[in-house]
Amino acid sequence: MKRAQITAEIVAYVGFFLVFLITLSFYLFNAFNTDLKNQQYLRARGAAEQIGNYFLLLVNSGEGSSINITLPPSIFSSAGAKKDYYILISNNGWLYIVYKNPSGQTFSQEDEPMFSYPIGFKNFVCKSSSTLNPSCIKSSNILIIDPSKGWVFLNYSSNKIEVE
Amino acid sequence: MTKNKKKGQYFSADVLVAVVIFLFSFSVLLNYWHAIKSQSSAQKDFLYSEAIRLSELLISEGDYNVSGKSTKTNYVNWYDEPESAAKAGLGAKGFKNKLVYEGSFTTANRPTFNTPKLYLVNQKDDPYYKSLKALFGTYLDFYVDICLYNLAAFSSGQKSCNLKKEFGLKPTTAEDVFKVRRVVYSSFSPFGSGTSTQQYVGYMDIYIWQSK
Repeated sequence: MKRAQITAEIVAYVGFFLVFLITLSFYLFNAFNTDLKNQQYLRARGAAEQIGNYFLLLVNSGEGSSINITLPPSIFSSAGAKKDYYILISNNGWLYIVYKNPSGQTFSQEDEPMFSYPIGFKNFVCKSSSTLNPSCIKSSNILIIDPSKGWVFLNYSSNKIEVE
Repeated sequence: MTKNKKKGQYFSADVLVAVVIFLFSFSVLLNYWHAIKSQSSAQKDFLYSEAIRLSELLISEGDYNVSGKSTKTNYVNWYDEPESAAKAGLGAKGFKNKLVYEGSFTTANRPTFNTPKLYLVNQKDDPYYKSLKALFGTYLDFYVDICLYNLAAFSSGQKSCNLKKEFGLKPTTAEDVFKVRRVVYSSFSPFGSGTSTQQYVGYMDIYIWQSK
């Protein structure tokens, strides 16, 4: 009788700790995923702030100024390498750093917006001289900038900013 | 009860379970506190950086030829049509920290920071205020207070503003308000011969806040 009781208690204890461990595992797994997302967000935010500050410097310097921005290598890989992020400039005056879906080869609606930065300037255009593989593409009200070449050149004249 | 039975109860499984539940709950609570603190700090950083950004924007030159509509005798300024303008700004071209308030008004609608087009609103749903916010690129609320003193009068100890301009929405119900003060100057040449240019110096306060 006593032995049977002890066995039942042990089963109950083990069951309880099993439930506890499973719950803890789920919690830790979720926390790990959240950390991963946070890490992506922080990298995008750091890059967006760095790039956004250069954009602001140009916007506030006024017409006749230009700037060549070296993109932070932490998230924008060099030419030919894998591109994880895109830069988008919307005609509402905001800059977006967008994480590229690893499965997608080009920018698509499935890409997840990661960080936005207010610029306060609405008239951005791609430089008119077209090449076979332009790094700046206008798509409806958004400029899509491919960062793989490692730099972006901006020129402020005639009330607009040309992006190259 | 015997002495042995008491010891057994003290080290029994329910105490262990209680300790585990307590530790788990305490760690969840700590995480929650930490998250709240981080969120609050990030929000304050953002408000402050927005106040700095708006102040930089306003002391730079604005779009005074909205959609190419301006002519030699009539300007179309960003505050006339904020929906179509490329950029806001009250700065004079080529002068850092100098506000546009210069020259004789021989051309119509000449750019000036003292325009009646920029005004205080009573509610945040004001359409003009909303279009200004869109042009500034902010979803936060703003209030701008410009106070300029006549340089000669200021040098002799005058305390009240000679030129005062307020626009935006005054913060009345905000939790966090961030203010940035920029030292600015301007000059004005009244129309007519023989009148000397008047020099002004003062400040521009930019308040950024988020209504509840």
